[in-house]
Amino acid sequence: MRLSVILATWNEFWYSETSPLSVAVYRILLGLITIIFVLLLIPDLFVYFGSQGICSNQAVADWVNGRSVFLNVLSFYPDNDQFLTAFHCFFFVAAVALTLGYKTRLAAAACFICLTTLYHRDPFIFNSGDTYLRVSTFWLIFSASGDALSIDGLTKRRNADANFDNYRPVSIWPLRLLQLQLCTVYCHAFFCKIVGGPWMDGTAVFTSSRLEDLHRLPIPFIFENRFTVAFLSWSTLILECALWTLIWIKEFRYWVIAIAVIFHITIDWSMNIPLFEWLMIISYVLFIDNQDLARLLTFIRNKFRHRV
Amino acid sequence: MPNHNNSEKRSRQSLLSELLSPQEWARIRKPLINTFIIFHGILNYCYLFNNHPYINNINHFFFGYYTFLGLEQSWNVFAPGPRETNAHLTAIITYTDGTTRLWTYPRMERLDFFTKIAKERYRKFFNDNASWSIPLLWPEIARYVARISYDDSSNPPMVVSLIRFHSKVLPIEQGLGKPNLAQSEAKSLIVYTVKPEDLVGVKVK
Repeated sequence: MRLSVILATWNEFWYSETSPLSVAVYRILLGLITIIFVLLLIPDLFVYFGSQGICSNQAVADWVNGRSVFLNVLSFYPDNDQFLTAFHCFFFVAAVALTLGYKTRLAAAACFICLTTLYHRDPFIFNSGDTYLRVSTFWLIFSASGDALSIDGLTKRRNADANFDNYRPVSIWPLRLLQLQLCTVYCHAFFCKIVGGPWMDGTAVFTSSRLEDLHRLPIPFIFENRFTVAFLSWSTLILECALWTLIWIKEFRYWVIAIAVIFHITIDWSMNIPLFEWLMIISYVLFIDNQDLARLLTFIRNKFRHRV
Repeated sequence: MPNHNNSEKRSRQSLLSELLSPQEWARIRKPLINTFIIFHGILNYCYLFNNHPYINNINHFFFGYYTFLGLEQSWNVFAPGPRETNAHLTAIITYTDGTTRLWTYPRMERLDFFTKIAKERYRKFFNDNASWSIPLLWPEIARYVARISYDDSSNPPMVVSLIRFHSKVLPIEQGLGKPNLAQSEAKSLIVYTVKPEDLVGVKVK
């Protein structure tokens, strides 16, 4: 292979142009999940982050052993519950602005700062879903997600004709970063699992179904049968592998996504890991062809108009 | 390019032209983005697949940047295998008059469908982190429990004992079709003597 071919491939992958539609839909869905994230924290906000809560600023500092400084807006007024309340209100407003696409990049940056602040204030309450939300919001800052389906788009009259397939093309590289972030999740999960016995010997799904604190709704039979347990364990590995490989191939993409959606809905049904599964599901929109997405949105809009 | 894009393009250009001429921006744009992509790509790879001393050195060098922005990530949930224990924490509060009270956090297995969604972070904090791997949280929890259990100024909490109850998940050969073992194995994590300053600021009757 010639160097010029590699450079051309690199350029095509990172520097071609695309419609902002898919990343805009992703922004709206991510914004909605961020709003839910903010709302779910409210009942126990002071338990998690307050001056009299379960984890002091000093404990976090001791844990990291003074190794670094962190992006943490709450450290400006530590142990100040009024400031924490104001901060959380600001976070809510930023999440709403992100969803609506108002000052979109600024809203994405604000959401990222808020997510990172809470993570650094009490890292012990956050799970993988929160990490994914935080990192994805960081990449979203660089995207032109406000160029479609947004207040920004309306006020600038950028898309006056309102056709879903007629947006001004934007740089593709931020979309690529978001896509690669999703693939990174599955790639790392896959390689971490294949070295372990339980996934390879087909018993991992049985063990995970027995974790009482993760139970949500029961699924009869399948977790109590050796064959189905083994099938699900190995299927998990195959699917996770497909989600960073086959998803890039157009002919396989929608099949992989459809199976992955069923996979995550099944996990969400049986396990109480709020938001994580939905974050994964909404991320598949990043891989949907813009033309197909435009057709889908047009179909939904027409249905809605007919009903009205 | 459609006309309605011109004003937006102008405002972007005017902002950029404060710093760079359009030609200069066009010249550095791609190298800048390339650097950004490659830098973060390598950093992510090194962080996720940290299996060599050289990689560890790279992580160490960029640790400040990565953690400052909270970009560290790991996707090893249930890997290499799911955890094989069920556990929960309980605290026994001993008051000055010798009476005791039992406390536990909202345990997921006892909550209804909607409540356990909202309270999931208790599970993460107590079951995944505090119960096992992070002992520095034990005095924190003890102080928190002392504060929320302090409801009579004449009888403040004196000692908080933190106990972990747990049980192993039976292997598939023994566990198929059988219920889980009761979480009856106990381990005392900390016996914390409450100090007066721990209760400062608590509103009591």
